Order: sequence, then structure tokens, then C-alpha cells
Amino acid sequence: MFFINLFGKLIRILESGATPRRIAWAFALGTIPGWTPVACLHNGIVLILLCIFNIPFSAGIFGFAVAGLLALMLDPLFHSIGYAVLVQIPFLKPLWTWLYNVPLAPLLRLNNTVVMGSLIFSFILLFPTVFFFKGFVVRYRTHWRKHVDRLKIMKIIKGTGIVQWVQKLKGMEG
Amino acid sequence: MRWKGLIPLVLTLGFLALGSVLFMDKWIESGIEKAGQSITGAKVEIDGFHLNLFKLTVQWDRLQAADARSTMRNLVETGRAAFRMSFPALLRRRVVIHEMTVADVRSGSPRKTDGALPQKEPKPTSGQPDFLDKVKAKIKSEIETMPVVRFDLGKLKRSFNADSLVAIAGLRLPGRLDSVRLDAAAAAADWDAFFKTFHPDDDLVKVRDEIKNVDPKQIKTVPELLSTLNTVQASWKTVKAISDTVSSRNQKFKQDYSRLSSYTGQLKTWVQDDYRGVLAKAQLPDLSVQQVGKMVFGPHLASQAETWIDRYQSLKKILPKKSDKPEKKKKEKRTRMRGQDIAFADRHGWPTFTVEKLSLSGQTGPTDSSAGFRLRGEVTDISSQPWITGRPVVVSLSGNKTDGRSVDVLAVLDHRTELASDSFTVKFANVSLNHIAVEKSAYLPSQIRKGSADFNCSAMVLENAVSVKFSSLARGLAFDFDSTAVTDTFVRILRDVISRLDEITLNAGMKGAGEDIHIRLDSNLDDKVGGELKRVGSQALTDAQNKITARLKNIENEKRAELAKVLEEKQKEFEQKLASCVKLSGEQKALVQEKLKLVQDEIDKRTNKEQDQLGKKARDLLDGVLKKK
Repeated sequence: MFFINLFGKLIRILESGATPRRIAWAFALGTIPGWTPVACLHNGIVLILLCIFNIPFSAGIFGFAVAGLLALMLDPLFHSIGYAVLVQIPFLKPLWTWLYNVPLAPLLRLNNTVVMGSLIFSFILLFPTVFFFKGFVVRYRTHWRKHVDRLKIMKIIKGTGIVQWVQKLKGMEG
Repeated sequence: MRWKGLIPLVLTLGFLALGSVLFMDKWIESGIEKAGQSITGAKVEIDGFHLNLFKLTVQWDRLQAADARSTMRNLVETGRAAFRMSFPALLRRRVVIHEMTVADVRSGSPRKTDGALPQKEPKPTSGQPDFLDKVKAKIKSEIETMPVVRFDLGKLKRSFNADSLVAIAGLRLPGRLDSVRLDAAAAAADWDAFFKTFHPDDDLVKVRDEIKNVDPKQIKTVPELLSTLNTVQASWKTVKAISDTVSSRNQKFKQDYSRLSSYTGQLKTWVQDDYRGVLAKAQLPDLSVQQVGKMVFGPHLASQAETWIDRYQSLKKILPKKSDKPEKKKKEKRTRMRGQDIAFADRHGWPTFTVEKLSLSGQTGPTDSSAGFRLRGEVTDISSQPWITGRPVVVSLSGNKTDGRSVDVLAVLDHRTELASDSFTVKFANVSLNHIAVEKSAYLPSQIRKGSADFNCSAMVLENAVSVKFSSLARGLAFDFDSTAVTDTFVRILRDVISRLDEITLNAGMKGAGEDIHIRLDSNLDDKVGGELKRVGSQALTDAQNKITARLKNIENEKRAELAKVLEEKQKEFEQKLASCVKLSGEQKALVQEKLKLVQDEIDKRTNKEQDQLGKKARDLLDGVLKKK
């Protein structure tokens, strides 16, 4: 059921009126708290950005869910990246020491290997994610929509109350 | 930009902040109470707790922690307390309190409600008593094994039979010797089994035959020399394996027999234990050891010691402990990997929690009418990570009363290293003993009519070792005894001696590590009462004791001979066998080593020669080529 809901959410985002660029940015921003452990200060900043920019919030939540699921498998990699950056690169040590002593910086938890590794990973993937997801939205809207509509799963998704309500609203707009 | 998007966020945060303002005090108060209850085992209540998030101040009007042993009284109660947390430290997730004041601290104050916690299923214990549990057990056993003296001189003269007394006393010596015998038999069986399977002679003879005629100078070719080297190396491996086995077994043999021989040394102590047991059964005072002070004051001091050890154990639960191992964190439901927190140099040197100075004032008595000592002092450097602050917790309190009594307390809780050490010094001076009721005891007066006393106690506790010294001097004493008639000679003598005494000294000590803890308690009563008993009990008592001593001496000699027989039975045989193995393997090892060196030297020599010849040939060839050109 979780994956059906996730798929339904994706379809609703793709079929919303937002531009592909905005959807892609919201998705990419949402992946940051997904890759990184939630209880960190930078995720609060991401939340504010998702609220103040004119981008679909639900796409951010979708990005968070997708990245959060994948992160479960990638944590050992994040730990390795974080450990390498924090411990094995000596010239960066003064930077981390300084950051460790800056007010509020401990709330970022950057001295944790998984947090550091996942944050670097999420920044590296930010622009590729935007690029990829934007292409994906465009491709969906131009080519795949009609094929997806024919899938049986769409009947299940469209059968849910919320989808019917959205469809109704769309009908009223039209 | 969609600034309106912030509204839900701001509203959510606003509600959270409002909730915090309204309920945070309750949450924190309840958290502190629960944490306190888990330490004390009884109710902890805080009244008027308030956290001001803007000023970062914390205050409470009253804190009371019930005494788990007597739940209608408080173990400790404080009046108003207030402190401010450091803002820069909070921004770095540290709680730093530069100065804190707690006033009106008192102990033993009555409670209006019962401080007992609801009964819970007892938590399964680790099963392993810690060092302090062992100390308590030692104190308890010391008191329990003390003879309870009922000294009836008439009965002693009429019917005393050492043999029947020894028979009914249930000596522990035979049981202990049986254990020794079992241990010796197990060790002997192990060695028998070893010598049955271990026969290195054949292998060593074979090795010797193989290599004794090896003469590298007689070997003509290099391949033959290399083959010989292989043979010698194989022999070396065989000899080394045998030699290593012999060496390790030799070591084990020494350990086994050192352990078994140590039993002989313990025999005297075991006999002494039984001697005390027989004396207890005979209800005779032991005049050979001075333990009158222990009998008179021991139970009371032991109960006091147990109470203070319990309190120290409770304190230890909250004292930080440095460890090389990563700190165990509370189990929480996590789906993601935790990662590793890398520690960088903290330029502020702040631990997670610290109170740099805590000023205390209060009294030892429970109420204003019986205030006890008015105390004042401070506790410095309370910290969750003293290895970061680099300073131990120091508690320094002093108090006095108008009548000249004074008390000084100094405690240093040093947990900066993995080997924690806590030391305490308490001094009471001029404590009035006027009209003090004495704990009900057959030996003691019912009350001290007048007198005063000084008490000094110093203690040092390490992880697995303890050293305690206690001394007291009571002077200007006058006692009141029960008017009931006393028939027991010992008690009568004791009372006579005490009533004549103007001064009583008491020196107690406890020292030891691990299982080896020694307790002593001396008093000037020892000599005085002992002397008086000897005078009164005269020959009858001495005869009775001599009979017991002689009977036990016979048993000791008999058992000592048995033990020596058991231990020596196979020792010589095994020693000889092992010595033969050591000698043989050593000889062969030396021989193989020598041959190995000879073969290797010969190989090196020939290799160098070959190299020289090849070099010469190469030079000749090169000269020829150059000349032709």
C-alpha cells in the first residue's frame, strides 16, 4: 500500500500544474533531508526553502520519501565518505575544528560521519537530480502519460477519494 | 517567493513554542523526578520548578528526595535553588552553570506523604557482585563469625569436653582438604594423561641420527648442500615443536604445583577459623585475640558502614566513568546507521554538563528545633566529563554549633581517568555524648550520662580497592546500666570495666583489594577486659582453651601430613620426567642449531666463491672484447 501511495503521489505531482523546473527543484530539495539523518539543523533550512519558494511542497515530500528509502542502503557509503572527509584529509581538520566550535554549528551534527557523508552526497547529487527529474517530468507529460493512464494500478489510484476530489476540482476549473 | 508559505511553518513553530512555555516546566520537572527516583529508589518531588527560556534561568522552591529505607523521611531536602545557564555554551549543545546556590539543605526531615514508589518487579541483577558488595559481605561475615560470649565459669569448670565440642562444632577443615585432594587428583590425572601421549624420545633420537653425521665440508655440489639444508631445517622444526611443548608444560607444572603448595600455607588460617568456631560453640571468650572492642562496637559500626556504603553506591551510579570503549547509548528505534561522532578539539573545554561552583548551606538535623550542625560549603567542578575539565569534584563543607562542636567534610571524587578514585575525610570534634541512649546490647550501658567525643574518618575507594581508617576518642565518660541483674561473667566484667573507664578509644580500619579485604577494630577495652577476664576466669578458662588448642593442633598435624602426602605423591615422578624431557630436547636443539649454522655458512661461502669466479670471468671477457676493438 505504501508503494501504491508513493506512486499515486508521483502521478499527482506529475499531473499538477507546476512547471517541470519547479517540480524538479522541489524534488531535489526534498532529497536533502531524505539522504541525511532528519534531526539536523540544515533540514530546518531546507524546510523553510520548500515553504518560501514557489515550488510544490508535495514534490519535496516525495523526494524526501524516495531518498529516505534509498539512504537505508547507502548509509555505509555515507559513513565511509564522512569518515574520509573528517578524518583522512588532514588539511580539512582545522576547518572542522573551527566549525565544531562555532555557535549553533553542533546542531548541524557535521562531526558525525553519516551526516557529513550524506550531506556531501546530497549536494553532489542536487543539480543532477534537478536535471534528471526535470527531464523525467517533461518526458512523462509528452510521451508516457497516455501509457501510464492505461495501467491497472491507475484505476486503483484514481479510485481513492483524494484523487476523485482532485479530478472533480480539475473538472470545475475546466 | 512565496512568503505566505511560511505561515503554516510559523504557526506550527508558534504552537510548539506555546506548548513548550505552558508544559515545559512540567516535562522537565517530571524528567528530573524520574531520573532522581531511579537513583534513590524512592519518590523525588520538586515544587515550583520554573525554566525561563529567555533568561535561561532555572529555579525551584523545594526539592525532596525520600529515603528508600524510611519512606516517611527525606534522604535530602533542599529549599530554594536558582541558577543560570551559559548561553554561548547552550548554542554549542553544552549545559554550563558557572555558579549555583542551594539553600536550606537538610537530611532526615519528616514527610507528609509516604515516599515509597509503587512496587515493581525486581530487575534481574547482573549476578556479579561489585567490589563494594564484597566489602559489605566481608563486614557482615566478620560480625557473624564473632563469638557471642556467654561466659559461665561454674559450668565451664563442671563440664567441659574438648573432644565432643570439636565433634559438634562442625569443622570446615575436612571439607576444605577434600577440595584440595580433588584439585591435586585432577592435576595429577592431567599430567598422567600428558605423559601417556607425549613421547618425544623417538623423534629426538631420529633427528639426532639424521643430522649427527652431517658435515657440510664433505658435500661436493650445491644442490646436495641445499638438500641437506632442507633436512636440517625439517629437523629444526621438529625439535623446536618438542622444545616449545616441553617449555609450556614446564611452566604449567610450576603453576599447578605453586597453587597446590599454597594450600599448605592456608592450612593455619583454616585451623584458626575452626578454632574460632569451636570457641563460639563453647561460648568462651577468646583471650588470645583482642576482639572485645569488636564485639562491643562491631555490630553498630558495621551497620553504620553498610548504610554509608549503600549511599556511596547510590552516588556512584551518577558519577561519570571514563572508558576507552564507546559510550553505550540508550536503545532507540532506529532504522538508519548511527555513524561515528568524530571529536575535535573544543577550544572552550566545556563538557556536556558542568556546574563550576555549587554553594550549599543547610543543616544535618531534620527540623529547625533539632537543627544539628549548621553546615556551609561548596562543591566545585561537578561535571559529566571531568576528563575534559581536568579537575575532580571537590566537596568541602564545614559546620559548628555554639556549644563548641564542629564538623569538617572534605571529599574528592576524582573520575578524570579510567581508574577512578574517591576519597573522603570527615572530622567531628567535641561531640557531646550527654544523655545519649545507646543501641540495645548485652554489653553496653543503656545510656551515656555524660561525655564528649572526637571522631575522625578517612576513606579512599578505588575501582577494586579500599582503605578506610576510623578513630574515635570518647572522654569524661559516665554511664548508666540496666538495673537488671547480670549472670553472665563476661558481661559483668565488661560492665565493670566500662563503668570504671573515663576514656574509650576505638580504632578501626579496613584495607584491601579484590577478595583480599582485612578489617581490624581495636579498643582500649581489649586489654582491660581481657586482663580482667584472665584474672577472674583464671585457670579454668585457660585450661579449656588449651584443650581446644591441643585438640585442633593434633588435627592440624594429622591433616598437614595427609596434605603433604597428597601433594608430593606424584610430584617427584612428574618433575623427573619433565626434567629429562627438558634436558633431551635442549641437547638436540643445540645440536640441530649448530648443524644448521654450519650448513648455512657453507652455502654462503660457496655462493661468495661462485660470485667471485663469475665476476672474474665477466671481467676477462670484457677485457678481451675491448682489446679486440
